[in-house]
Amino acid sequence: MNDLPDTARPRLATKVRLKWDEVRQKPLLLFPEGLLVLNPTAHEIVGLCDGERTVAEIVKMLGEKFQSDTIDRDVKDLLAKLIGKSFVVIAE
Amino acid sequence: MNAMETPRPYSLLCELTFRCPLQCPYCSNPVDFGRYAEELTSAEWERVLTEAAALGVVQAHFSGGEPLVRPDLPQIIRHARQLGMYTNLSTGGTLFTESIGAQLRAAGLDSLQGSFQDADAENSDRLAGGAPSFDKKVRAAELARRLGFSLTLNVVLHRQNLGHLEAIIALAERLGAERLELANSQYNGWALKNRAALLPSRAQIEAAARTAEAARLRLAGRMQILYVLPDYFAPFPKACLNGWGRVFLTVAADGTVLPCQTAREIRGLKFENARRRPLAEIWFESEAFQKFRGTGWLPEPCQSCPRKEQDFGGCRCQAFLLTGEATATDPVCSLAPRHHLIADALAEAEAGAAGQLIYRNAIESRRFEREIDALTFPPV
Repeated sequence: MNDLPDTARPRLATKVRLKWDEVRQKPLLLFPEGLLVLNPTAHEIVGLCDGERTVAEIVKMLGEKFQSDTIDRDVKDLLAKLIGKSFVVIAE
Repeated sequence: MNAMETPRPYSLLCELTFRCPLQCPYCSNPVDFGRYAEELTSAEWERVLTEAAALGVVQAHFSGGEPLVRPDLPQIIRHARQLGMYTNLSTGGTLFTESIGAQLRAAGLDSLQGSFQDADAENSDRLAGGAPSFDKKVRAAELARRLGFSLTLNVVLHRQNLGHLEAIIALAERLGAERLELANSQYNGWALKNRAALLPSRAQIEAAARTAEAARLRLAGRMQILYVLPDYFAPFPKACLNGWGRVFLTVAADGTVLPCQTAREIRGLKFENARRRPLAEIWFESEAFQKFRGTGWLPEPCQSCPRKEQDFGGCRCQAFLLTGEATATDPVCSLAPRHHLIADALAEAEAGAAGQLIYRNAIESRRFEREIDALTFPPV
């Protein structure tokens, strides 16, 4: 599932919220039926999904930060999963 | 398991009231709900939420009964949002108005879930009992969308509406729901009292699963469909709430603190009240929460089962209600010594529906209360 275009502008769905859990010191993605505890990379990616930045911009920012060759695939794989679960939508 | 190892709860269900204009025959409230009528005040709910946040709760679900009968609902939800919690409201919708909707929006409510009993007025009203409610529900859903809410439709499935699943999905589409939760009835409490009239045949379940899956694919990206399989038709039990006292707790209308909303059906197990003891103490130290936490207490065949960390022996309420023993393996498990209790019920369901619906109302609740009080239950 790598059909996510570089120009797409992802954002969190209205029903979804990113939260820093003070008690456990972990980032959480909260939605009606439950939650996900995010790993540091997922936290960075989701945190950049504001409906303004494009996928290409998110990849570029994280590529510089993590010095990683696989970041393009990591970002697109994660976003495809989150879009599949309706947690992330592409801004119109 | 000591307090150092005990997990903290993520999720709190606030059953704000047991009052409700609907009388659904599969209600998850206690069958004797009438005796728990002394509701927590606004200030008490705010204190419960504050204690819950400190304990680690990040999600607050508000239900009832019908939570909209409480005029302080927006105030309570605002408090939960100020604590940084994700807030979710489950309502029957009949009392939803433009004014209350706007107040809930302003309070920061994250997710709104409205129940429907069936796809059309005649069947929905018959199942909900009481005064006609379907048309009010439709208006509430339309209003909620207009106010900008992310709307989920919840429909409990059973023998009497499974055949209408296509029409139920079409209703959710027409109302512009973002999510449709199709949960097969769980046969505890009121649903167990009505099991002969509600338990479907295997053919019905299989047809519904195909319909739901086809709709899930067709509507991908537009409406999310969650289809929850009934445990009676699965080979192994569900990990009920991901394990007793592990991630979830309920505070009932009267302040009773429960591992799940049906747990007080386990007669003989003593539950404490948030009015009298801090939530954290109840979570970590009370007998009821420690009783079935983890896997140490499990009987055979669960204790030596490779699935024990997955399903924790299944649902304690179901085990108690069907076998009389809260420590028994959940009979829905195909390996359970008393699995025949499920097999027999399924065989009866194959033969057809039986019995009149008993509606969830104050009169029937009083009757069940007297029935229960006439029995004695040994301590668990």
